[in-house]
Amino acid sequence: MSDDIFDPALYADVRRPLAEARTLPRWCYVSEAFHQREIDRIFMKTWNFIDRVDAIPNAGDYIAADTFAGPIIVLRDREGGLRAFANTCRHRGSRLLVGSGNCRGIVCPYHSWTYGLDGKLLGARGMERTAGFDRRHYSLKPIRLETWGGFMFVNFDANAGSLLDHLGELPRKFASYKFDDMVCTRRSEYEIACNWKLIIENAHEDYHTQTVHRSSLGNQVTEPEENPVGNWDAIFLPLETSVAVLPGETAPFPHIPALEGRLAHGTYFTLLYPATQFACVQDCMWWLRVTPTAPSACRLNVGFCFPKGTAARPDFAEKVEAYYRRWDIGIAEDNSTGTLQQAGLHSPFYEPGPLSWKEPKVHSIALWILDRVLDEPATLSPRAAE
Amino acid sequence: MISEGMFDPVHYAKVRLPVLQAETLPNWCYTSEAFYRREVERMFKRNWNFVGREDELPKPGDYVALDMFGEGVIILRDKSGRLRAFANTCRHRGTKLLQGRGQCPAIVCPYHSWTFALSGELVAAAGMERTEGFDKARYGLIPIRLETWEGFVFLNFDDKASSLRDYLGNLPDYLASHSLADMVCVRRREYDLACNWKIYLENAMEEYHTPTVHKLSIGAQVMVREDSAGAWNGLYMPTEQTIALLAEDLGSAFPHIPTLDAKAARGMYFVVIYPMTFFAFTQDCLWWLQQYPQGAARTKVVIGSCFPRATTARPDFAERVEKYYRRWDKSLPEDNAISELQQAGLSSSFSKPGRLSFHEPVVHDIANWVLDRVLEERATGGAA
Repeated sequence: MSDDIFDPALYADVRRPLAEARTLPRWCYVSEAFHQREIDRIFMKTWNFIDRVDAIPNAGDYIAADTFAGPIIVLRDREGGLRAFANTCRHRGSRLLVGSGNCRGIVCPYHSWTYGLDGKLLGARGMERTAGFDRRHYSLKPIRLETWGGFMFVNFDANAGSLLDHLGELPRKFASYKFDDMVCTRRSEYEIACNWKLIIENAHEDYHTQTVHRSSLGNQVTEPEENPVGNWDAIFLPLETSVAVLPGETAPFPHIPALEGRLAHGTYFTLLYPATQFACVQDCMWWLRVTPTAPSACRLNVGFCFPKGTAARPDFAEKVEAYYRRWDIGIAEDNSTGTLQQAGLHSPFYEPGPLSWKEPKVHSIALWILDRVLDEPATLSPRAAE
Repeated sequence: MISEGMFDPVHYAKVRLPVLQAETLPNWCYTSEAFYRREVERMFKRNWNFVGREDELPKPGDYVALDMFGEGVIILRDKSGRLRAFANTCRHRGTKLLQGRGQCPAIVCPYHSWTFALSGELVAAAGMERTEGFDKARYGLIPIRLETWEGFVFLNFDDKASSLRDYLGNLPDYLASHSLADMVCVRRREYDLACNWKIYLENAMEEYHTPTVHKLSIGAQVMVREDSAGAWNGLYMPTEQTIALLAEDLGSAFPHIPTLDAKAARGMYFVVIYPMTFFAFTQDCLWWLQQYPQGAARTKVVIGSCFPRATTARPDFAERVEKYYRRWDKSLPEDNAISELQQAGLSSSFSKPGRLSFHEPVVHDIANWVLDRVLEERATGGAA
């Protein structure tokens, strides 16, 4: 192996067409250097899904989230605007808020520096003798936040394009899901001892379903999305009824009215690069948000959303249990698989393997990542000469 | 975060300014493993490190095994009553010999039963009789320098370092009236914290946080800076009564140390002995916070509580000391929690150096003491 794990020559086999390609080398899943490169060149430069706007409906509502870029705060300000800030005091750096809640201002728990909901430093008692100290220079560090369909995304790169540019054709294609009209009814969180890519790969191939989910969800036969435009991809599972309850159970809630085209006839398991899945069903949606925490560890946040009309039904609390049961089982099975796979990838004897025709998106994901993390070839390629 | 040139003084120019013009350390000083390793090599392994009280190992054969920034160490009292320190590694194939605390007549390796006397000498090595030229005399435990001051035990990994007395400068004179040799450690508690060691020390040496963090317990404190010569820094807080008790428990206060001079009788001292020990000397007792860093973002903190021997001999000691424990068990978790919060915030990629209040001069001193030791030498011939 070359000393430089970012040398494109090491990935020639990954770059072949699917039927001839090999999986990513094991170091992509275990190496600290590869992990750091992914953080620097992918996660820090792109739009990352965080949560729903309905998580913070009122002025002063906030959520504190841990990201690969450290802790952040997402809140609703006095004017109803959504804002995101680095969750670190401008004095000696303490984390300001934990969990979620409502606050009128942000008071540091260490020395009581106090910030408005707009991030401005309003009070810093005890600083009156500090030379040239100007409160205006010590506002909270803002982070870019944009929304689509009630979903909030943050971007740590001030130079990145807009969220809508990033999503390409997806908002138009999925318009009839009317995500704006949804509400998140349940959230869950898992710490998983595996690389983030293992969860994302697993969520976008059906090859494993007849093994991993044989006693629960059963086999699923999906169709890969052809030529998606934007930083997303999908596999489509044709099924006239909702896939969000276990086989044999009847989904009790109505379909979203006026779903267009294939949306009415199955489920889109949709990858929002780099590390979020939106599973979009005829009667609901759920998200998987994966946050890398180390080369061999990640956090999975899951949220379950229904149309507001469905969530307002008198029988919602009772009947939604069928959905939650299905999700808890399916997610736990996939998480266990991720942990097992990671343990195996730690073996120095693991060599890249071949892919099944049922895993085209595992291949696409590998290529999308390599496009962003590898060093440019040293020689002038035709692309560089453009 | 920068990774190249992390030790270039140019990144720290604003930390070097006078405190009211200065900025805090960059966040990588608290999060980077490379910065931490440099601290280990250039500070911890070259300076005197406090490890506990002599009276914690009263009898021959008493030992404690410690992990000091990755170095396993045994401290024990030998048969002649002398304290010794050794590297906690068998001279055969390197196994760690002792763990925790205890009593032993000799040190027997758990792997192949090589046996070392309390003096460190290898006294038995069964099965080595056919090994050519093997001489037990050459395989004693590796000694580590140990010196004491008034019953406080310090280790130094550097054979070339000057004496502990030189290191402490005028601190012994300063605290002479506390009769420290007469103290007894009555309780130790450990906390495993997700924070850098400096965060914990900075917190212990500034009052600015007290009205916020301790508003429901010990409340605000006001302190005065002391003149120090040597590797320490001190704050004096005027107070007529001990601060080792919560206000509502002052009725349980033990008598003052009888030898206190006038100033010591009317206040208390907070002292940091560099690099990473904190002491609080009150009129009636003392406590220390000793840090055992486990990496850039992990620290084990040990609090030890000491009282004069005469106080511990009182018939009501066991009952009344509970009020002191109550105070420590209340305030320390408050500082522990804020330290972990600060570490979490500093891991933000948006973290930028802040400014310091006039309440935080020692935070500034600690930063500069560290930088004096870990940074590259300034290139010669420059304008500086």
